[in-house]
Amino acid sequence: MAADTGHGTTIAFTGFTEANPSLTVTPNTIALGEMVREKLKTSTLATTLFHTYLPGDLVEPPEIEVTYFFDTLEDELPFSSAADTFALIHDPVPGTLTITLPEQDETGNPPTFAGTGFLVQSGLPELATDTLMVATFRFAFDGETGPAWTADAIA
Amino acid sequence: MILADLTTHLLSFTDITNKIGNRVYINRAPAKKATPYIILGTVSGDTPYSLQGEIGVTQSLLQVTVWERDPNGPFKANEVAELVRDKVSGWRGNWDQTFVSDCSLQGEPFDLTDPPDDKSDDWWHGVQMDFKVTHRRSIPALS
Repeated sequence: MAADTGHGTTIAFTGFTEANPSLTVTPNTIALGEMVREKLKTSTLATTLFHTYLPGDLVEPPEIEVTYFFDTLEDELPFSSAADTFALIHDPVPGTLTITLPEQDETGNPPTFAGTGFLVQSGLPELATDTLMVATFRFAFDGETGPAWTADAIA
Repeated sequence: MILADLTTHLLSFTDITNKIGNRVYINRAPAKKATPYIILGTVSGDTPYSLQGEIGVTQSLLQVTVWERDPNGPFKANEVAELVRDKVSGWRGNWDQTFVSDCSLQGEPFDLTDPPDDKSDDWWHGVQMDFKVTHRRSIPALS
């Protein structure tokens, strides 16, 4: 077991309206988000000291937040026009997002985090002197398939 | 190298070379050189990374110092510093072979003084400016 950085992580989309869209952005950062289970309060007027809770039945799937350096040469971007085949933010059809994390031993069996969902936000860059243009998008897992974690397979 | 590119850029303007000849140096000036002259240096910088490595753009904090040896004050140094500011502050375009996206003066030019290095009254007067320069740089091949 070894601690590691996120350097080398890639992101891929499949199964959207365009069968295998080639997301041409190279992520700057990827935040994998959080899974949240609702807490159901069960305390009553007779409860003392602390509120009491039951776990909710279902878990809220995470939303992936990605930042990337904006490249004005690229035409296939998450916020491309609705007519573009890679207009992810306009695409109502869920597809699969696969995050491939760096391997510990580089043997070709990297860890992945994948599931179905859709884009819910595409942030455009701030334009300012002295500042590199950074854009964002947010992908929400829909809970239909995954998100599932596959561990690094050490050969 | 961005300092060599800036040197070429500055020496391409006759109003600068009329005042300093070709006396633009990197990090330090040779001894006994006539003044005024310009010293260029890199103070710090920032290399942005994506998750795949360098992105081919870097930000350098460059320091430009104009030195003059004169008993009366930094008058020529101020003139040359103003010419430098006029040629680079807000620049977007090539410096020699390097594309510069952005060059911005950080704060204001400020004065430096050093006592004479002989028994004369010729004090050293300097005007120093820091510029943040965003420019292209090759991405390492890693092979």
